[in-house]
Amino acid sequence: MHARSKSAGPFTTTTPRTLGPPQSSSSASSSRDTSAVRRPPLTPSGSEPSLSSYGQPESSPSRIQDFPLSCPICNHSADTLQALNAHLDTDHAELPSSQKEGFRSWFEKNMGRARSFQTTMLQEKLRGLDSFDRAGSLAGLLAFDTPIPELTSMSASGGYGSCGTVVPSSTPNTDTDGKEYLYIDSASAVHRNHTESFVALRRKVVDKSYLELRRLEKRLHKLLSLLSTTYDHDPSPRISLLRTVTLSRTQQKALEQSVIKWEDDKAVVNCPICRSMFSFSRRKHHCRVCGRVVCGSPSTDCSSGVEFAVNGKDALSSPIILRVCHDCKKTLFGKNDFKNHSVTVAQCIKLYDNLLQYKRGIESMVPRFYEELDRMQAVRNLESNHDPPAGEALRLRRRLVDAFAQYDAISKRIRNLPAESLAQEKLQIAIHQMATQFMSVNLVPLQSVQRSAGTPLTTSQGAAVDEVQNTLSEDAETKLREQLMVLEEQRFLVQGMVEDAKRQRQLDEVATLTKSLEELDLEAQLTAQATARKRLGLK
Amino acid sequence: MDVIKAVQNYVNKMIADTSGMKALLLDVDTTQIISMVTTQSTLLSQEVFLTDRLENAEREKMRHLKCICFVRPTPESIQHFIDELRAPKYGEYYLYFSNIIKKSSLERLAESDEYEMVKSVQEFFADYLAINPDLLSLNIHPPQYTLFSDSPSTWSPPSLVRSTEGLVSLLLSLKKKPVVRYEKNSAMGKKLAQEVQYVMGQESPLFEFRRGETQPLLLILDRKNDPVTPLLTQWTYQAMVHELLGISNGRVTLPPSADNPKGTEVVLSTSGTLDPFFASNMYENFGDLGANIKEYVDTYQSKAKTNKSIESIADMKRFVEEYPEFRRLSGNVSKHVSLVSELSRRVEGDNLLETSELEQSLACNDNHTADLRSVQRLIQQPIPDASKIRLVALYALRYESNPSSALPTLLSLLSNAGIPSHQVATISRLLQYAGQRERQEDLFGGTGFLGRARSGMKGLKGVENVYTQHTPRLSETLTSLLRSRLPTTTHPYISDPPSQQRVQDVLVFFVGGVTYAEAMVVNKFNASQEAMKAGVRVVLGGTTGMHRSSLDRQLGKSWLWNIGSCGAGLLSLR
Repeated sequence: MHARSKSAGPFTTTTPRTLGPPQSSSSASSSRDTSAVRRPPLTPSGSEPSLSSYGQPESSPSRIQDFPLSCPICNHSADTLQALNAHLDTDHAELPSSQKEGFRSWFEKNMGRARSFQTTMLQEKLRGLDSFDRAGSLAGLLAFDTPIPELTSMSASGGYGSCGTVVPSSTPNTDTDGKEYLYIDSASAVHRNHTESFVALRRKVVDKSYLELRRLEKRLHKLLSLLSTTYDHDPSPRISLLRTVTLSRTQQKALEQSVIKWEDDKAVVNCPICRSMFSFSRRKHHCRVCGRVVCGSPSTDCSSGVEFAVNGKDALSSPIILRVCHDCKKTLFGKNDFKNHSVTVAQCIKLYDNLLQYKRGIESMVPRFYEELDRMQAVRNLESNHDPPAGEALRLRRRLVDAFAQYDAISKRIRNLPAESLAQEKLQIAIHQMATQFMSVNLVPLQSVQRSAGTPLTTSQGAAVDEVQNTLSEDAETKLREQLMVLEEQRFLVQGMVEDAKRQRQLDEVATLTKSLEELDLEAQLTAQATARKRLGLK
Repeated sequence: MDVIKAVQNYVNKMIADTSGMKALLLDVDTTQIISMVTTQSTLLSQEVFLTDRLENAEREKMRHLKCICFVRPTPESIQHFIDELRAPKYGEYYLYFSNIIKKSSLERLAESDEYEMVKSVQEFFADYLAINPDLLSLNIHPPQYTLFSDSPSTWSPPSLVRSTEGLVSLLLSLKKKPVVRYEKNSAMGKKLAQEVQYVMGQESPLFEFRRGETQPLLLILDRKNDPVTPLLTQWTYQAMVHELLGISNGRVTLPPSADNPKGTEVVLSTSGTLDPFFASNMYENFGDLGANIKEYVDTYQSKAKTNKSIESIADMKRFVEEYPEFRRLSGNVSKHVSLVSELSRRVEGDNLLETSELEQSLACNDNHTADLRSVQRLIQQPIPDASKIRLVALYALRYESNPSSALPTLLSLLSNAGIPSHQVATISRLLQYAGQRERQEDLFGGTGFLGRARSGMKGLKGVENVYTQHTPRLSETLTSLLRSRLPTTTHPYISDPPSQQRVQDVLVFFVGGVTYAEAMVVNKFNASQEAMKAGVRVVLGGTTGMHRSSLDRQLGKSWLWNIGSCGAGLLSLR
């Protein structure tokens, strides 16, 4: 099971819970139906951990693992909260609602207790306990492995509870009576924030759909567990095709109908979703989740078979296929599908983060460089004959140039990433443009400062360089390098201008600029070769 | 009281509030609003990497981007956003409305946000196009809007709504809760004043500003009381570029020429940092402009010369350092040189000097026989049709009640000159819209004894420049306002008049469009000693702006279009 959970991420380990009855839902849902709270008859005594920590129990699934717990109803022991949870969901799913309430509070306490233990300590103690050998209940047998589409993230990501946190912290507070807060002070412009009332309005809708989702999930879960247990007790060979056959149609039908009453065939003339009339070619089908009669036309996708991977004890288990109508599918999987939409541009995002880091670095370094220059200028003014050592400024300058080079390289890499869509390509080009812009803004003043500091700086630089590298040839090499650097910078600026001109559609300018860019490239190449020759000559 | 800054503040705030890679979604209107105050590179530097239209259904999924959506709260935009929320393409949504959003719209949006993608919903009141710091427009013009309904004194409902919203957002963005005045004879002005007053009452929490010494004033004027200004050829840089080449969203398209067969598009920014030459010369007249541009070219040439001699590494370094600045300068110089040379080509080709002289004479002096003769002569000459129509229109306005008016003869002359009849008909429509009966005051200084005496005095003093004798009526209105002498009989208050007439912050809004000539009047007024001393600041706005009217455009059926086609100086009165 662990291997499986790793591949599917943290969501899968909590999957059975997702499908389970509402007691395992996040705090937001539990606060909604607290009207009927009753003390549970089976609440275990013992330690009373703080309930407040229940806030995001799912955020640390690893910590609550490997801790022996037992079911409050039948005292069945389970090794992980997940297993226990699954056990509760499957075996005790049909508790009367009053009992459920007490049950939840017990559950919450145990959850807290589980969390309060240090995993590291427990891991030592419990090493060797294999959770699944002992799990006699369905909990171990039944797990939904990456169902298609996945029945996942609802509880794991905090699902509904996130609604309350969507208001960005930077937005202004709202009055307690819910009226929009007006931003009126002399410094900022008048605006009005509707976020609070928007979220309140949205909550109503989302609440409703959430409840609906819970209802359907529970039903589906029940159905699946019923079906899978039937399979498991079936002694027939474990080949999926045969197995479906072995479970007789009527048997399966009865099972399915025990979960949800099927709508009467005769009462329905039109498909409720696509509105088309049923006929010989347009057959009637029942949605196994809501029981409605819908058509199965592939063109409208009013209903279709959905595969549910059921992981039993053995790896040979086959998926259960159930017909689900379009509406239920949307309610059940829509949100998770949406959330799990994979981000295929991870590379771009990573590089962009890198780029930002370098940018921040440069932004923090530039003022320091200026300070250093100012200091040198001041010293020079004091002692007119003596040039101050330029070591620090030089060092900073080198680091800056390095950072700029890195920055440039990353931006180029972003631009050259293979883009799978036009928009992505546009994005990458735009990022590169931003980088170019940033560099031209920051490089130019850097150079002009050097100029204003005047030639003395260059000579002092030269002096500093001389101090470090005494031999003449090395000095020449440095000169060449400097020249190369100048060329590189220049090349870069011209490139920026080409892009500028392109944006402003000054095509004639682009032509001349491109030409000068080519010349610069050539020059840079020559200089680089000369540098290389020098170095070789030295060796 | 700087409308460009006000809009920029909003835009910067909405972009800076969200960090990370961003996409910016706009609608038809906000695209223009934004493009007036910011540039692509500014947006880029704030991590806005994609800009697209909300209604563009072809947009691709980019979940790793956050989306800033800035739209007008129109039914169309709301619907587009609802569609967007049903199938979200970006990771998070930050929604900004440029005006007050209806409660029902907010509800609809909230109901469609099932994925909980919207992170914030705010109203940022940037709902107008800021052209200059003291000039704005609402861009109410065809095909999106028509100003009038069936008669030229009633609003078409969408335009009224748009004007009200625009004015309300202007007031909010400048933090003014003004008293409202309008022109007594203007039904449209009164209607608009009432609407604005109503919204200020309805949304009173929004309008709670700290009260200054004097209450601000919103003065709503009607174009029909000064139909002459838009008919005159303008001679200041910005006005000329707009009139002859057309400024659209701050961009000018240069027509193809011999050395530039493709034609180019140049950006004209009034911001001093982006284009200092334009910022300092936009109100210069054509003659002074010529001198200034020559100077500008000279500076450039001297710089170019020093850049030519590169012999040593030091020279090269210096060159590299100066190069970007030099390039920028050279781009700017060539832009303005080509603009000015294009302008002077047009001035010559269209015989604008002669036309303008006659226009000024018609507008300022009462001399029927001489004027009639000149108009007749010019109609026979190869000048553009628009100029001919304009001349006759001016004549018609000037000598409308002159017993010996020869308007019918002139109209038939126009027809004979090959001008289509529907264009000739604009002149009679103009009279219907802004003829003597419709106007509030005597625009031409009176034909009676006093008036003649006044124009005689003018003649004695002599005129500085024959092409710029005429001053728009706005100038007079502002002066009387400054001296607290604007009578309530002609410019009544929509609500109870305040105890004192003294004003400081004045927002002037023209129903029917505003011209660059008036923008210049306001600019000069704001800079004048008298206004500075009294602390008076004026911001000018109009229902239309931005697009040059031209005869070659498709003729619409609206009143506005037809009047505008003879008033090229009027911002987009078409």
